[in-house]
Amino acid sequence: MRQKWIVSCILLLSSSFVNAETKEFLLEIKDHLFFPSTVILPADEKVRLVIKNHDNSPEEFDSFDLNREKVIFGGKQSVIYIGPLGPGKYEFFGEYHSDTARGMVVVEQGENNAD
Amino acid sequence: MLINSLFLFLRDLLPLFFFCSILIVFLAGGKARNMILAYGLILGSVSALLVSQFDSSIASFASGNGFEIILFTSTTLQTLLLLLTLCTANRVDARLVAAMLTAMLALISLTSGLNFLIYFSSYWGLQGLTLPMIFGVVIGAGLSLSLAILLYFLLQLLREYAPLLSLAFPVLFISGHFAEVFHILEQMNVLESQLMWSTQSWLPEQSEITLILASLTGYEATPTRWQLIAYLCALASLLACLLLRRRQLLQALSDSEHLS
Repeated sequence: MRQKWIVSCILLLSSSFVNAETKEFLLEIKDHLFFPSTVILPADEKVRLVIKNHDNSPEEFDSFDLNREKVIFGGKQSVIYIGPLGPGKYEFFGEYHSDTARGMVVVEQGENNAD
Repeated sequence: MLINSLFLFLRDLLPLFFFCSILIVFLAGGKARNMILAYGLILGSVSALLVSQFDSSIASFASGNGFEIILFTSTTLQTLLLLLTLCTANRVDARLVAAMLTAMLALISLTSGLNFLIYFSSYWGLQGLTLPMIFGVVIGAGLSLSLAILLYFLLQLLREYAPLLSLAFPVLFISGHFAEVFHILEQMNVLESQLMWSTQSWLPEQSEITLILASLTGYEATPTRWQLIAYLCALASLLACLLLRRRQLLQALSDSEHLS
């Protein structure tokens, strides 16, 4: 009985910390611009955003709306998890080139593609 | 590039200027204060320089989360060190308190300096960028220094008329910065993320006033549930310590030779 309780607690805890099935989306940085500049994500779901920096210099992915920031070094890629988010528009930008590197995450019900 | 350099300087290094002001006000003066400031800043700057030399390989560590782990560990240690300082001030050897404050300053210098060094070293020397970057840094340093001096006078005034209230400043500063880094664990998928609210429309994070507020208190326009929990836990434990040990702490404040 006691063992069952412990196992249940562990399962409950691990389920709240880790999401097994997570959709993946790709965002690329080329010439200090984001491609695609608009990423469409499904609502109420956590997603895995892979950010690939094709430039030689680093760029910092930053979003006040999403509460995310991460430095991606030149020629490298990084992963950040975002969401679950409600439907709406969430801006992001490259902190080192905020005049050119700008984009938006659009969260829609039932959508999972990027343009 | 000038505006970018200015913004990044203020975002990354203004907290360091503010923390130096706090230390200068609360360490009543003398040789000990100068030693803490000198050792803390030198140790932190050297560590930031060393880490930035291996930035690319450190960033690749732990599935690309090397820097985030350094940032999170450093901020957690800062909070623990403040808690220890509040709990032990006037109870243990003054040299131990001085060592803890030096370590805190070194860790804040490391986290503040590291982000800016990555940006600065990457774009320094590129054609047409060096001069705007220098101007950005000079203006940023001037602004940060002016704001730090203003904070110094405000804290001096509070220390004289409401000493207990003045002690709440380092507590707010550290609690805010501790909570701020919790988004790192969320974006690494260690913790679940849930945005609590957004004040971005009326107090946007990119504005000048919120930049100051963020440096001083760790303001977030879109806090997450874990950031809120971390903030409340850090604030509650530090404030409890502050209130429980108020007599000893006020005694330490009034004793100008406490850390000399």
